[in-house]
Amino acid sequence: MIEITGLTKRYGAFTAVDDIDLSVPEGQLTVLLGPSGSGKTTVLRMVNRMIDPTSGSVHVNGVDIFERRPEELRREMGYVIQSTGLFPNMTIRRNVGTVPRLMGWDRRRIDARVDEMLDLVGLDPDVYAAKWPSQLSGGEAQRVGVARALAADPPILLMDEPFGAVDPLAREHLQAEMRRLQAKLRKTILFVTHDIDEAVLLADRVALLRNGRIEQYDSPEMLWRHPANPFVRSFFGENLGLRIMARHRLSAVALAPLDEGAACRDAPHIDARATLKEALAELVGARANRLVVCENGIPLGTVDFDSLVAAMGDDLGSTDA
Amino acid sequence: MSFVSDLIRQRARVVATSGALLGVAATLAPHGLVFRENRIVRGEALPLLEALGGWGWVLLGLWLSAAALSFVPLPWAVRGNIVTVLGGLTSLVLVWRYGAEALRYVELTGSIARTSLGWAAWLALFAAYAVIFASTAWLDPGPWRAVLTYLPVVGIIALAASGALSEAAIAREYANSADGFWRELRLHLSYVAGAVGTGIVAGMSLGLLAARKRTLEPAVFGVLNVLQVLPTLAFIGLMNPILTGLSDRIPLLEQLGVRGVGWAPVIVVLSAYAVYPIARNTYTAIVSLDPGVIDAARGVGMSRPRMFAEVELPLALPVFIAGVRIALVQSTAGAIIAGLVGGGGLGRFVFLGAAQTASDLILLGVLPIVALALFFDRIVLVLQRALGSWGATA
Repeated sequence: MIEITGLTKRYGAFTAVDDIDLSVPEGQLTVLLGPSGSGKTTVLRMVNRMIDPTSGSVHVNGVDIFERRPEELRREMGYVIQSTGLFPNMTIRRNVGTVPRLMGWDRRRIDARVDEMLDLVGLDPDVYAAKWPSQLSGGEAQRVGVARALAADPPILLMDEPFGAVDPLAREHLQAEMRRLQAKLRKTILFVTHDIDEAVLLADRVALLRNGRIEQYDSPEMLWRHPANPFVRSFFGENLGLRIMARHRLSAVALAPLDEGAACRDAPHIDARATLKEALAELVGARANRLVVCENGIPLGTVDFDSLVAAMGDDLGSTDA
Repeated sequence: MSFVSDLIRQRARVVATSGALLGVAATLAPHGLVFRENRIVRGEALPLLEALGGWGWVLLGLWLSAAALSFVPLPWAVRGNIVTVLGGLTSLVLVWRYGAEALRYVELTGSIARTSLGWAAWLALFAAYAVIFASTAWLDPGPWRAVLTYLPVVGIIALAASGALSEAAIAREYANSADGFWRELRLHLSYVAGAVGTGIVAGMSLGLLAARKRTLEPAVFGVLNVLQVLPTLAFIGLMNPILTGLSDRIPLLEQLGVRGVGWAPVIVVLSAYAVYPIARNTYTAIVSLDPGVIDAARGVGMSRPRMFAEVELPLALPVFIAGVRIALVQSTAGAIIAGLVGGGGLGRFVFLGAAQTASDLILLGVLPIVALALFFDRIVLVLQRALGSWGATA
């Protein structure tokens, strides 16, 4: 877990980060969200000592990071950036194996690990390991960037607008992959973005920054139901409810019982893995009062407008990935 | 077929056709071959068509077919192969028959007779180069294209080695000073090596210094710029009193043979010229590195020296090598000046020939210099591309 206390960064008269306290819980994905110039990247870069703070402290699992050698500290924190930063002079294999190589692993162990990491991010090692960064699409390059960050199995990941430069379709794929990966790996992740959809979709907790200060630090559900001030409310806007619906799946919702003999084929139906937002869209789109919820062709129950409203009630859990 | 490469191929058609027509003109122009009764009289010039007898008509035929084939719409690969071969054949026929005519003239007139290539013949060789250069653009890159391109060069070297050119005027000049030729060539090459070696060490250090300490950049390149624009002879003249003075005061330098004239000022001046392109390219290579890549290298936990060795140096190397290439070609040509200030080298033949108005002796110096410069250029270009491919085209 990362404990940030009184962290401040000044550039001359300009205060980029202003006395921030932030506690990033272990195994959770914490998003630093805010307009550009709000200081979110500066906070991130102070955690792995790419930038030295003016004052304040950062502790990782109780250890003061300023008592660590920066290089060693960084090897324990996977680092993913918007421009991918893949080394153009190295193959994908060598890129992904960078941190293990720096840590002095033997060749065979590195090779095995690289194959495993490429598989993990959905790239076939037989196809991709021998390629060069110049031969990848933006989305593929970003996956390789994630694989490289994970290669030495660091407990912490720092991600700076990792999907900001890829096209919208690839970005959605990457975000879905990210949710799947995080559900599996449970890393402690600090994730910088200015994209509200991305933040609400991925975050366990969001720290909303403005002018170097944290306006509110909470789960997306709490930010929606209990915004701390008018800035928070207006920043997330009218659509936050819908965005929250995209975080939750039908499989986690209490369903109404099925009618006698209901089947998935004839009635309007929806997959149990669909999100609440997709269910709402399907209800409207199919002009139906209710949908049969199916899993692998077997009907589980039904969902209607009332059950969606009920699911979005105050007791809504903060996440399910 | 991409639009761009098609455009290049269309343009190459114009170059190849004009090249071949230039060849036709050069075959008809006066001063094809120059026959002289001895080394320095003016002699008699004949057009290639006339001087080469029946082969002159063959040459004309080759040029006309090259021009026609460059123009007609055959498939690119077919055209490329045929026209490249035709271009090569023109130069080979020209050089081979020149050797034969030179031999015939000597048998007719006596052993001190000389036969030289006139300006029209040089023009024809240039036209052949243009045709080959253009028509290879119709072929896909690869070993086959390289073979076709360089076959004429190999052919001419083979002709020379076989003795078929032994009566050519330049070969006679070579025969007169064969020992000297190789000695001066070695000397010439050691000037180039010395200058480029110094250029690499000093240029790389200065380039890195300027890239790391940006505030020093104007100072470093200010000085180098001034050195770069100093005319060679003036520069050497400037070095004369300095080196003489140093040599007088420091016995070690005197023992090494450092004097105001000879090899010392040549090495100093050529080195000074070689530093600039290497320093400039080193600087550019480092400052234009992708900031994202550098950020990532730090972010994954590379130490400073590791970052340099694994990321910065490999990425900068192709641009750096390009600087070395410029320095190499520039020094090869620049070392001519050594012949003027008692430093020897191939320049000696050039200035000696100029003093004796013996144009063939000048060529004995100039041709190897041109050949060396082209050779260095090609070889280092191959190296440069190999170091920087990273899956782009390889």
